[in-house]
Amino acid sequence: MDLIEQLRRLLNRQPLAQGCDWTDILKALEEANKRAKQGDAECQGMLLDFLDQHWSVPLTKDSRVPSIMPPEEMLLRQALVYVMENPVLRDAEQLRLNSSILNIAENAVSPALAQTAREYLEAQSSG
Amino acid sequence: MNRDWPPIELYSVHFQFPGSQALPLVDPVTNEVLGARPEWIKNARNEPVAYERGSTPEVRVGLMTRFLFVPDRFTLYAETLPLDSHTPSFSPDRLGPWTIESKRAQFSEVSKTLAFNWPLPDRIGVHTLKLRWFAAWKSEEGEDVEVVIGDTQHTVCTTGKRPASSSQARYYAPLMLWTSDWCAGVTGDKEICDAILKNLPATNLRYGVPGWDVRYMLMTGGGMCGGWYQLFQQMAACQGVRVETRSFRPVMPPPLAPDGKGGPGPLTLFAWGAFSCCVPGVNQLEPSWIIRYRGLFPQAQDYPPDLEMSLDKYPTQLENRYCYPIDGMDGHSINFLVKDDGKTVYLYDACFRREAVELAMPLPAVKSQMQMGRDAPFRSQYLDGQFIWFLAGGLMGGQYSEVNLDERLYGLSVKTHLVPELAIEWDY
Repeated sequence: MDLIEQLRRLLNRQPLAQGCDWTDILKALEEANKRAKQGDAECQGMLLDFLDQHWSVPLTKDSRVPSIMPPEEMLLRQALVYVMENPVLRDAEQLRLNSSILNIAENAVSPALAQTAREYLEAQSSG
Repeated sequence: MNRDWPPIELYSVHFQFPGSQALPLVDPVTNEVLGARPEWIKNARNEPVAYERGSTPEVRVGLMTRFLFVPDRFTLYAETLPLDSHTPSFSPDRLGPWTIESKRAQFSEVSKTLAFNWPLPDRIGVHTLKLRWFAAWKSEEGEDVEVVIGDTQHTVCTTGKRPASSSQARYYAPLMLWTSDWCAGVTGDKEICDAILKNLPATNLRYGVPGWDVRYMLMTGGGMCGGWYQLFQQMAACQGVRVETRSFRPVMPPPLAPDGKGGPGPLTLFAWGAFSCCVPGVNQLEPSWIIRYRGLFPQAQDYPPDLEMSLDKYPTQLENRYCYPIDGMDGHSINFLVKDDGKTVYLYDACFRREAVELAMPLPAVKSQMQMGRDAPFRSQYLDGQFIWFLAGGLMGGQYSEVNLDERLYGLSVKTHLVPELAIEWDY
């Protein structure tokens, strides 16, 4: 399974490979982050797109169920960390990024994700 | 006067009107505030209301005057009616009298805000208030007229004292009703939290089903720890008690040396992959089939384990367990009540424990790490007994055995209490 292709399909709302679940998308994010750091423009764009939440995460009956927050928010938090740790992404599209993070901060059901998003927002506004 | 067609009729009683002292209760199904409309509407609606204990409420009553002979001015009052012996109630004095002015018209609506002339009980509880409402006036012939204009019955929750910061909070109605009942007559933050924790099974909500926020849990019947710790926090908030939310996740220990005595060594030799427990959780008879891991778990009896021995030589146990991956992301969520001295906390694990754990430690700071020997209070009084196994992967008998929960690979189970050093990371 080409993980980047699955991520691409997820963001384009196309069907994913059979059996692909949120843990595969997590791996895909990790791979996209690696490539984004190397300057891959498509992967940089996908990480930013991911924060817009215009996607729904696939769950299969064998999917691992996370404990502290929903799978979607696990993925969002990881993508948020990747984006904020990448100076190219963090500084390139600040307005769009701020809007995405604000949306996450306001709508996350998990206190951990909401608080993480708020901290990033504060960091953005102060720095 | 036709008794079936009284000249004045009570058609609504509104407690949580804008500006009132009533606490905003929310219906989890519609996610709407119950007090957006009158809580009692004749033949249509009767919803609970909540006040801080000892409050003196105001209500807004809606009256319909029907006939021309209703005077411009009349007196309104309500008598409290006795309830059956099985229904807890309070029997205060008569409510009112209040003077009401109405227009002489064929049909006229009167909406009037009325202050109670006595306070609600100064203790936590759920009370039933049954009222018979009367209107009285002097007829044109000079006779005293008194008519019953309606009977109403209200469920009134009185809560613990509230911190000023909670004035804008919203409370799910079932949480308010449950906690006001469980904590009836209870005072003190710890006692309130204890009563809530002890009674959580009465909600019929279960641990171990996907669900991470309170409303979803109330709708679907349960949730994961990420939902339970929010539920417990909101329940305590209903009674004016502030508890903190924390999630913890173990972090990788320092690599173990080939001689098993600690110190630097290749990480791949022995590494934690997950922590686990076998207790079923609230309202489960056994670990929930939805999220449990069922399989043969090889178990080490000693620490450090004999890494010369291959995994298949260890005794195994067929078990159902909850396993939490040590992946830097997931973990377990709990609540803390901080004692006034700031040096002691009470740990509340809504998923697994029915009693608080008193720990001689301050509230862990978010994003901090805690290195813990076997004597650390969090370990000795909670972690070691609750999550009795840590799952380890490593080079065993010359073969690498990994922990991969997605692939149902469980590595080697090591008893938590035997591990000399564990590190925990804290999150919100």
